[in-house]
Amino acid sequence: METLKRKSVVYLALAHATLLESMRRKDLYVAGILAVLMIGTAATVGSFGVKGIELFLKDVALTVINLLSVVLAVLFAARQIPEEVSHRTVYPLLARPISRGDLLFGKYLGALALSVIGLLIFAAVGAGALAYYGLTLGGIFWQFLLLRVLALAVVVAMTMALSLVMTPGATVTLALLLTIGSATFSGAVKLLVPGSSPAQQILLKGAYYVLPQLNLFDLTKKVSYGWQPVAGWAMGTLTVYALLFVALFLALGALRFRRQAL
Amino acid sequence: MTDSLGAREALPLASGAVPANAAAAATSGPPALAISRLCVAYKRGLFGPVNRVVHELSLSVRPGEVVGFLGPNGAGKSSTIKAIMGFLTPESGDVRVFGHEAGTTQARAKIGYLPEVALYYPFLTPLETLRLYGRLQGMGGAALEQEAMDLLKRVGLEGREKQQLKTFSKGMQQRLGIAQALLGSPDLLVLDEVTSGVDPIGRRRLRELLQEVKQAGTTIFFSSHELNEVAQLCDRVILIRGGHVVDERLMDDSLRAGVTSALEDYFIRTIQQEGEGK
Repeated sequence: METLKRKSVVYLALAHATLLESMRRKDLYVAGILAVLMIGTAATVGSFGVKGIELFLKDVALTVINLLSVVLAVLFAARQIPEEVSHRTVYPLLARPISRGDLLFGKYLGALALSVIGLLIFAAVGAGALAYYGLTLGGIFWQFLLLRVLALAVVVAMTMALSLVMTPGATVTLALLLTIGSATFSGAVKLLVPGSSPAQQILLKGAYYVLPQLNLFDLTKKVSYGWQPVAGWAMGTLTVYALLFVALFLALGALRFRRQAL
Repeated sequence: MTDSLGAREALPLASGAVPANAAAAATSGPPALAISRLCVAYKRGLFGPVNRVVHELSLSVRPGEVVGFLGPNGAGKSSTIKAIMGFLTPESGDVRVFGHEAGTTQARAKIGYLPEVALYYPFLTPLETLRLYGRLQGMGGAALEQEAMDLLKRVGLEGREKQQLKTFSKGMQQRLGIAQALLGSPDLLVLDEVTSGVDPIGRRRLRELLQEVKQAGTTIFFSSHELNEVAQLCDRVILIRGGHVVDERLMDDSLRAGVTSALEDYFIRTIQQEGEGK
């Protein structure tokens, strides 16, 4: 119990410092600028009238929220540990009685908090712009947001793990490909598996299960079409699925970070 | 003995010789720092060449002792210190801090560390920085606040507690580095180039601060190119070159004589002799 309390203090201290540093560095200004662009686009489209294109507008707004929050999360996460090492701020941190895994997890919480703040800014602007034109998103929008937070939790963990084995540029590229290309990949696997050889099927199915299927966390269409909220068991299953991938990526990252000479 | 430059040659460290304050502080416990046959190598890529920077280095520091770790650039000082801190995995050898394996949280809980080039989060204030390190150290509450404020005062940063570090000079950052190293009253201070970038006034202040820490019985192991600091602070000096110890001496009055010249002469002479011997 005492260890858990001590660990919590360490994680919160690291997450708080990460958040404070990024806020003061005005990292979230990027989110603000992108949000203003969203408002500008909505105003331009709205000036022609929204009658008949309600579905399209909702779809676009939600997709933009998805995309921008993911891009922001990847950019935040990709630089956390590499910058600590290249800026040498890692030395006084790791001189303390904490493990490298503790540092990774604390930084992870900080990067996730930043990403969630970014998501909430985009969501507020998107929902606000739609409301301005009299378009409501219904109760399922809250589930949409919750699943986006879970998706970001996986994306941030995956990006931080990748950042420990490749350059920041490569990390951002691969993380965005895996995240944004998730739906395309799942669709391709379903199409390709029936006509493939047994060996190819093992490879394709293996890749399908090893990589996180982030499209499962996307309720864009359901929100746009005004579906009823998703069943609790489905939300629970997705939460467990996300937490498993977060744990897997952070464990792999910690394993790699532990062996890294500083 | 007097050398050609007029400085008296110091006596080599006699086996079992113990500096006065170290003897007073030493107990029957393990050494503050014990390095045995340490080898550190860096490898470029999977199949790249191996560059051995530390070879079979052995040394021991008693509790309460102040030891200067000297050597020319590239001698292996920083790599040895990184091995003490657990920042790299040695190729072979054993490093122990008060009996605990180097790099473990138990070992690091005993150490206050100042890196050679310390950089801190530029958008945090000194107080926030010390709060962060204090919490990582297991401190908290009013005790942490009080100690952080006291340390900032001791290193001459009072009145700047709420100024972001991006506005700090290198010397001021180094002083903050000393403050974070002293946070939590560590048993062993490991300082890599302690006065690097500090102006003469700040240097004197740091020297006085380290003298206080020394008087309190804290073990100090530090590398420095500033032999004046070493002469005034150390009980003993260890010289390394090419990754291994070439000599070690107790700091007696002869090495302190002339403020810097005697120690400087000894350093240059020993390093050159070692180079010619190869």
